Formats: sequence, structure tokens, C-alpha cells
Amino acid sequence: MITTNNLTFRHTDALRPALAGVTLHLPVGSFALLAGESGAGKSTLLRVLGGLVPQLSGGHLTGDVLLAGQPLTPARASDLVGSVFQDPETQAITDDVTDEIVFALEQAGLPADTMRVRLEEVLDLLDLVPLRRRALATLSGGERQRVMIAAALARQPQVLLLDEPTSQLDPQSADAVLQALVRLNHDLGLTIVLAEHRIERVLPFADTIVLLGPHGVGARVGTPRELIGEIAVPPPLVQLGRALGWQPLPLTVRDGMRFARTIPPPSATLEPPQQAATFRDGALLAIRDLRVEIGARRVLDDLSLVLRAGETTVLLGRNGSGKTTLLRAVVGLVRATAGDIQLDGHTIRGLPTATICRSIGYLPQDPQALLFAETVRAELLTTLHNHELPADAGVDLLLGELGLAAVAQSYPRDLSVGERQRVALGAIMITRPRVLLLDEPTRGLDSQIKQQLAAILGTWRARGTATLIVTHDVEFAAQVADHAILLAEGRVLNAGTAAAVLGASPLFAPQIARLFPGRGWLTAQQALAGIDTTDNRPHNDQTQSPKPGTHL
Amino acid sequence: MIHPWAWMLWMLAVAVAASSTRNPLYLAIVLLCVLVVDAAVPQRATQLRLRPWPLVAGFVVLAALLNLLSVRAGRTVLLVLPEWLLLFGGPLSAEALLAGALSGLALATLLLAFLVGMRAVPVRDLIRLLPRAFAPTAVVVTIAITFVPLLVRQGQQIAEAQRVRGNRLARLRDWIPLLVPLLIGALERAFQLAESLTARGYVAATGHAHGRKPLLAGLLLAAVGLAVQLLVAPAAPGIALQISGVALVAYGVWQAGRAFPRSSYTHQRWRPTDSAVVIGVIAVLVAYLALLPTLGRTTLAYTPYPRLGLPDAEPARALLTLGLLWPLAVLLERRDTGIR
Repeated sequence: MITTNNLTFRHTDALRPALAGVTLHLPVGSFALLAGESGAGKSTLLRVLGGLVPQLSGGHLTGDVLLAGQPLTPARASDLVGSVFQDPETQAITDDVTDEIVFALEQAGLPADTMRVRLEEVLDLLDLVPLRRRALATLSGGERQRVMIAAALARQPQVLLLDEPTSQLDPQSADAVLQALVRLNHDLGLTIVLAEHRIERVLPFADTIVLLGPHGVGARVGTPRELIGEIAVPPPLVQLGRALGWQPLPLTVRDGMRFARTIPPPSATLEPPQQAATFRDGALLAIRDLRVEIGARRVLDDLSLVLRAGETTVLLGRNGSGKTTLLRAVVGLVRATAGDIQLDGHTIRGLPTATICRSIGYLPQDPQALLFAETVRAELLTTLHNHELPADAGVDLLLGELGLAAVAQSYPRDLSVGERQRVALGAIMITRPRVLLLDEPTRGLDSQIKQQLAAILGTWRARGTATLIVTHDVEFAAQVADHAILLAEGRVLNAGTAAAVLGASPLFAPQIARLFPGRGWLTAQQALAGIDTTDNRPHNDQTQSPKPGTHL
Repeated sequence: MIHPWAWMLWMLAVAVAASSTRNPLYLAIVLLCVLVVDAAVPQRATQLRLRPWPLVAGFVVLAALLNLLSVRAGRTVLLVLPEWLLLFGGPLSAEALLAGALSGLALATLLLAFLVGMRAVPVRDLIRLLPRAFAPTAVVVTIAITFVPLLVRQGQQIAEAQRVRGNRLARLRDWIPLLVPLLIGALERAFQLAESLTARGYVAATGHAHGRKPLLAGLLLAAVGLAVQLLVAPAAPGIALQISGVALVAYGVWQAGRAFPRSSYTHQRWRPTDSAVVIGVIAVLVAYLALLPTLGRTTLAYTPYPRLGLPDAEPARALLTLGLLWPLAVLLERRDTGIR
């Protein structure tokens, strides 16, 4: 269906190509996962295949791109290819479900009867019938993303390209989107190419991996089993399988369970989950009976929690459960209607945000919103200036810690995604706050950059920083968290140690916890430490090779 | 659901009624009709709704004060301001106060009717009324409806992000850090939207050239016709030229529309209830344009000057004004049947 020969693309004025010598072939009905580190050119390749690059972006493209055996032209791309992008909010053209889906059909001048048939088809395919009359603003992230897929499908494309469509979704919404894609792939034979950083989400469904080389140099195409070993930071399950010599490498938890059953249970038992954390002395940040109402809706309902020095807590919950509101209420961006927030024993509720943020660092979901200065160094100095603090050696020290010393004089918005994230962290951490609040810090980051972030957070944790992280990334949560809190409808559903809370959650359990339920292991490293490896490696199960496409 | 054209005609009828009289009795009836219809229009979840009474009160008070301070006519003097108050010095009359209040009432009624219409008809349905020649404009307006709230939200997020960095946003220069990310963010979003449009097969057509010649010729012809009518007697040749010009413009718009294959999914049927609304509109137009020999213009042209007096009213005109309530029957019927 899709063939590229020696595809090379260079942005105007760029020093090196974004894609270089990419050759691949994807047959009709493929479900391909596009993988590669940040900057490998995944988005660029998707846009080339979608006919958007170089038509919209400019730049120089060489090599061949064939779609169904014919050269790709913008007109053919618009007829045969549908594209769905990362943010369902910014790609919406109208503000209503039905209008959004029929927009492209109206522009194409299709008769109303044809539009009606197509609309009903895509509404059915993506389970959107009950939402057909809704305004987009009233939908959840997952619902909106399904509307965007429906809008792309309404033109009846043969190929669907998706650029990190689940990166902003909670696990349940992400699963709903992926299940919809699987249905389209299986039932309609639609060719799907999907770029995703959290590859553990997609591996159970993909039949092909397109692995782009560093800086977009070359591409390897193969089955997940063939290529999974070549991914720099593979999912925890694969890491574990690789370390224990499991063959064939398990791609899904179901694959891995056959090996896991051979591991003897540990002697120690897991501690039971604690109830909601209580307000007590000794806490660095203590929140007691916090209530936030927005309009008629109670977003936080008498919520209590504590953060202690040198501990990292993750806050999980479905979209709309009140996680971001909690962070915003702590720093005074949202007014709490009841309850108390104390920092080191002193009430901070009602203080100006600027005053609170001298002692509490808060990184919002979009770190780009923080950046405006001419250089990385100036970003940090601006924060000091705002707080009327002197510029001292701390700036260079922090730049060094964040790995930004070499780019201190660079324009922040020219940096890579990971570097921009670290500049934003620097801009809020330069006041050396004792409490750090992070809202979805791994959004759009690849696994290697997440490792760097985890290392930085680990350094600050060792220094006594209390950190609260809101995230949908359960594998990252498993890696960094001491404690975990599950939130639902503004209330604490469960709180306790990360092992107890994440391990017991059917929705938020990481791969290793699903593989070894009840053992208290969340990461591959923890599992390896807990397993007597001499007894358990190597295992080779060639006779009962797991079925590709089996689900988590 | 009332047809968008019927709503447009209803707004036109309110505009005609409110702008052709200052008789407080008629104005009060028109305003009452608009308020009743406003209360019956269902509220959509994402819609903002202005409370009508503060809006009316605001307009009336503001216009009354402005007129009181700026107009020196009227015999019922309420207060005499010293002459050294250059613009405001002199006698302030009750007549000026009332005349201002009536103008405010008419303006508030006009605005309220517009807001009711906007609440009742989604903007997208209004856009669909545009001829195909204006398809690019329709897309731009559609995008603006989606884009502007996003931009506002982005601005709020950036302001919050700067407060988090200790910026108290107290002085004008504190707002500069907001501009760079807002501008860059808006450009990024615009580019993402362009990608989204292109990915869905939207191509900005250059179809205007098709109808441009007849369009320009028609406008020119209409202008010449107007000049002829004003300068040369008899007026017939000028009027004929204007009609020809308008016809040519209509042809140009039709011709330009052929370049756009756009169709519409939502085809709202014209129902008998829409005709009923139009009958009500016609009744109001008849009443306020004085199209019946039995209805004179005397009671329309009420003025409080030179001395306050009670306005006269014709019961037939007051009755015809109630034609503005026709949408109510349709809206209440919808409520009874539970249609949303």
C-alpha cells in the first residue's frame, strides 16, 4: 500500500535532513507502529505520507513515495489518506461532533444523502452514535480523539496515519481509541501507521514496526518480535524478558505470563493498601479537606493528602478526575472553597500564586507556555528577577544539573522537546523550592528522555524535595514513585505505597505488576532484584509461540 | 426548530419596529415580546447568556444620562447646572431625560433581539445561508468560532504559567512575557489547523475570478443608476439601471459560486410553523411601516419635547406588534414534545 524508496527530506535552511534514505514497504491492511527516538523524523514521515510535507512546510524532498503503486500527489493523498494528529483540540475545525465529521464531505460537495450514509457508518464504527449531537467542548479527550478519527475516515481513505493519538489520554481512553483502530484494521482492512512513544500500549496490536534510525537516517521494517530488541529503551516487559533470556521475547503481558508462572512466589507478602493519607504533623505539604467548586460542579471533594521531604508521590486518575485542579489549587491558580493547605506548618491558602511559587515549583502541562526569553540562561534569570532574588552561581549549577550548560545561550524554542522540558523545569526550580508539582511531565517524551527526567527527579528527591506528579504514564509512575494516590471524581480512591496502589489497580497497574500480581514489583529492575535469576534463565518456548496481536 | 431564515426575518421585524418609533407604549410591547421569546429559547450547554434586565437597565440609564446632560431642549426643568461646566452647564429637563431613556430602550431592544437570534440559531446554520461564492468566508468564520476560544484559553494558560514564575502581572511591562508564547502558540495552532484542513481535502479555491467581471460591472451599473436617479429627471432610467446592476451582481455571485463544489449536510426544511412566524413578521412590518391606510404615523412619532405628555396609541398597531410572539408557539411546542 505504501512504498518509499530512498526518501530524503530536508527542511529549508536545515543543516541536516530530517529524513535520509528511508526505504520501506507496507502491504495493504498493515497495522504499523512507527518507532524511533525523539527527532528521528516520525512526525515528518507521517506528514510526507499524508501529502502535507513539503506542500505546506516547504523544504526539499527526494526519492519516491508510492501509494497503491502510484506516485503520491497532494490530490491522491487527500483522497486516499486520512491523518489524525496528537492534540484533538487544535485539529478541530468546528465545535460540534456532526459538523466536524461532515466538514470534509461538505467541502467536497457530496450530496446530502451520501453524507448521511457516511456519517452513520463512521459514527457506528467508532461508537459515537450517542455523542452525535454533542459540542466537542463537552467531550472527554478520548471521545474527541475518536471524533477526529471519524472525521478522517468519513472521506473513506485507504490509509490512516496517526501521530501520537493517545499521548494525552488516560489508559482507559487510550485503550478505547486503540480498540477502535484495531476494529478498523481488522474489519475494513484499513492500513494504519501510528507513531507512539509509549510503545507498550501499541505493541499488542501492531503487526509491523517501522524503526527510524537516529536523526531519520534509514528505516528498518519488520515484525514486532524481529525489531523489539533493537529499540533503545523497550517496554519493561521486554527488558525483563531480555534480562531473563525469555525466548521468544514476550510482547504482551499474556505472552509473558507463561514465563512468569515458572518463577516461584516470593516469601515476603505485599503490604495492604493504606487508606487516604491523613493530615498529620511532619508533612512538608499538607492538604486537609480541600474543596474546589467550579460553577455548580464540585471538582475536589474534601480531599486530604500529605507530601513529605524526599518522597515522590504520583497522582493518577481518569481525565477529569480533578488531578490538574488539585495542583492549580495548591499554587493558588484556582480558589479553594473550603479546607486548608499548609506548607511546612504555615497556611498558604489564599496567598498570591507568585508568593507560593517561590517555595513550590509547578510545571504546567504545556511547558512551552513558560518560555519566552532569548536564551536558556535568561529564562532562569527572569524567574529570579520576578522573585527579587539575586542571580548567583546557582544558575550555572542548575544548568549543569539539567544538562543544559552547553545550550545556555541558545534560544529555548529552538531546542529539542526534552531540552525544552528541562529549560521549563529550570525556570521553576531556580528558586530551589522544597516542593515540586509536575503536571504530565512525560507527555510527548520518548523513553530515553523520560530516563533523563527520572534521573533528575531522583537527584532532587535525594536532596529532600517532595514531589507530586500527575501522570497517565503508569510505567514512568512505577519507576519514580514512592507513593501513589488514585483520584476519582475529586476524591481519593486509594492511597499508599506505589507498590500497593499501582499493583492493586486494574487500570493503572504497570506491565510488571500485571505479570506478577501481588508480589509488589512495579519495574523490571525490581522484578530482577526479586527473582533468583540463576533458577530462572534461560527459558525458551519455541513450541508455543504467542499469537501476534494478542491483547494486554 | 425554527428555520434560520424565519429567525432572520424575526430579527428584522424587531429592528424595524424598534427603530421606527419612540412611543414608549409600542417600545414596551416590542421589548416584552423579545423578553418572552428570549426566556423560551433553550439554553445550550456551552453558550454564554447575558441576563436581559441588567442589559436593558444599563442602556436606558446610560442613554438617559447622556441625553440629559447634552440636550438643552424641554420645558420641565429638573436642575440647572452652573454655566462654568462648559459642556454640561445649563438647565437639565425631564423631556431630555425621557427622550434619552426611550432611545436607550430602543437600542437595548435591538441588541437583545440580536442576542436572542444568535442564541436560537447556531452560527454555523447562519453561515450555511451564505451563497456558495462566499464559501471561503464561511470556512474562515467557522474556524474563528473554534479558534478564538482556544486562543483565549491559551492566553489564560500562559498568564498562569508566568504567575507560577513569580510574575505578578501588576504593571504593563509584566504582560510582555505573555505576548511571545501567545503569538508563537497562535502561529503553531494556525499551522496545525492548516494541516488539519489540508488533510481533509480542503483546498482554498481561487474561484473569485469566475464572477469578478459581472460583479464589478453590476456594481458600476448600480452606482451610475443611482447618480442618474439623483441628477436626472425623470427617475425611471436611473432605477432601471440600478435594477440591472443588482441583477448583474446576483449573476456574478452565482457565477463565482460555481467554483466551489460545497454542499450542506444540514438541510432544514421550511415548515408551516416557519410560515406562521413570517406571518407575524409581516403583521409587524405592516404596523410599523404604516402600510395600512387605517394606521397613521402620528402615534409612532411620539416625542416628549417640548413638554412631557402622555403618548397616544392605536390598539390595532399594539395588537399587530404581538406578531413578534409567534416563535413562542414553536419553542413551547418543542419543550412539550421534549425535543432538544
